[in-house]
Amino acid sequence: MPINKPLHLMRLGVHAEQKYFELNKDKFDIVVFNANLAHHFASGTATLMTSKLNGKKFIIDPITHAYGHHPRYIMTVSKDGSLPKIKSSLESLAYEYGPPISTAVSNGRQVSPNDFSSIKPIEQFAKSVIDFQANFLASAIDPSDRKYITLADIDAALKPDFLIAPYFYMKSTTINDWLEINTKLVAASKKVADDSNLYAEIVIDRGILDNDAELTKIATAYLALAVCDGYLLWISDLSEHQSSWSTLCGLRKLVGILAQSKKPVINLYGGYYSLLLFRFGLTGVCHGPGYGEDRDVIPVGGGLPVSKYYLNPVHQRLLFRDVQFMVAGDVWRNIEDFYNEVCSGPICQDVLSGDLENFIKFGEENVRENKGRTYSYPTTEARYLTTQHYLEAKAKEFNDVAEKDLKVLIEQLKEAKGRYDKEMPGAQLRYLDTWVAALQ
Amino acid sequence: MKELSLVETVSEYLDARSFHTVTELPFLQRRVDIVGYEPTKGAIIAVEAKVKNWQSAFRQAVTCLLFADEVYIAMPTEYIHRVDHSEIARFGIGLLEVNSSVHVVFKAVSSHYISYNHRKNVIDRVQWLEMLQLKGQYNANQ
Repeated sequence: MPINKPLHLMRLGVHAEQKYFELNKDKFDIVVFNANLAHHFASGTATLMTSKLNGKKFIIDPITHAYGHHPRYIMTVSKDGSLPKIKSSLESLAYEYGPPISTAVSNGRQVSPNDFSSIKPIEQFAKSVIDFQANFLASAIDPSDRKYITLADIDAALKPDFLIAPYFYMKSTTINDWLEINTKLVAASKKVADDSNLYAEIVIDRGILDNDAELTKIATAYLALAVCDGYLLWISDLSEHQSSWSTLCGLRKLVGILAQSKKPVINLYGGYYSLLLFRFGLTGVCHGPGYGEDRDVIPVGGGLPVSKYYLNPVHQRLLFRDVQFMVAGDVWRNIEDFYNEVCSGPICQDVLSGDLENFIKFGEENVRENKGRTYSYPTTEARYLTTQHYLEAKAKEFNDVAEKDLKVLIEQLKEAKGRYDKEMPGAQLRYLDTWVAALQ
Repeated sequence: MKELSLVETVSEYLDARSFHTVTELPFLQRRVDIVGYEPTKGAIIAVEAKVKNWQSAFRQAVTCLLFADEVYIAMPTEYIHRVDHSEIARFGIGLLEVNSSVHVVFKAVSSHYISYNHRKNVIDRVQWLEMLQLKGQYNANQ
């Protein structure tokens, strides 16, 4: 059956974000949990899916790639000077998955292709990862709590919409090490997935998108996998706003090859460019509440929070101060111009209340002094407002892509570049030209 | 010349002209190098100082247009030739040349981008930082 609207997936990064999922549950289709979060907060996750998000579809990304990197990338350094150790949520998940993951973790090393040199560890690992996704949340509900849940079939509500085979990250130098193992893991997972749909997750370095031979090798290997029911993509550290034309063309090509299977193809970390690839065979796009349109497989530090406002016509979160500068510079002559050109969603209507002077509320901040230095950071309310605005803008983008002709959407990108390029000092809107070129 | 020396020299220059100056004032998740507030006239001057990278100073200076009457970039004599005058003049930002003293290369134009609320917040913070400095709790150079 043809899908006439892109699937909208939202990733829950931390449980504190639950309110955004609850408030916006009509705006997206599927919740994505990382396995370590689901495992570490099993009861809370199960409760979320049986109460506040009752009836919503969800999936669990098994994030098995985490164990294929050097352990230093998944370690935390404590402030008391003790030795770095594996993050507790990943350590406990490793023991849930069992060998060879648990063996590698207990030995303080990463998983290597040698750990999967025969079919037995492949089958064993695939089974434990699939079993975890299929059954763990249902087992996490305290039996005594079941009577308080009004759902007719709790266990069914805690089954993921589809299961994901274990996978490892591939870059140019490791394709030959991991590609065959990854495809074998998909085949082995299908054998234990019972009647559930099984997706293959393809996690690659963004550089592969620029290498036609490598890209084709990976895409055709997965295309040939008759056993899987869909594909998930994670192109590590691919910023659609900073990528070259050739990289974005590579993503389009990868989607095009996989779409030949007539199976769903979903980008787990994507922005508006990915959304436009709906017209080229991409089925869905995932992001987080206000962030998560790109992500490196290697965790990077967060830093201090910064206010950002999603400027809808340019499809990018910009620093609040830059958008405030545009407001102060009368880029929009009046509130009606702003509503027409930028956003007339409920949050913007409510915050602005007919007066652009109120735009400042999106950037309100607190200041504090600590150890002789001063900091400013967004207020909780400002973060809530910018996040809610982002989610409203995203929902509108998904609708627009479903409803409007691609030519119209491309024309809008060109218009936005012409309209705003000179209005933002230091702003880089060249990506809009790059997107247009990569889509034509 | 180091950025710290630039900041000190420009601060002394503004102090001598009846401005209450504070350094490293937090504003929209940045720190403004120097903010001078003249309470009798209610005037605010902001200065972003950089030794070599005028573009970086420019990007930060633009944000200051939201609250300051006049905004300047300060650079040492040896690197000031790098500044694109037309680009900073586009936004009315002025330029200060700093060696042992301060010389106004060209004067800033009154900002057209001021937001009353941002300005009020900055004045409050100038007073807050002055108080911290008096108490000895604040070290902008740390």
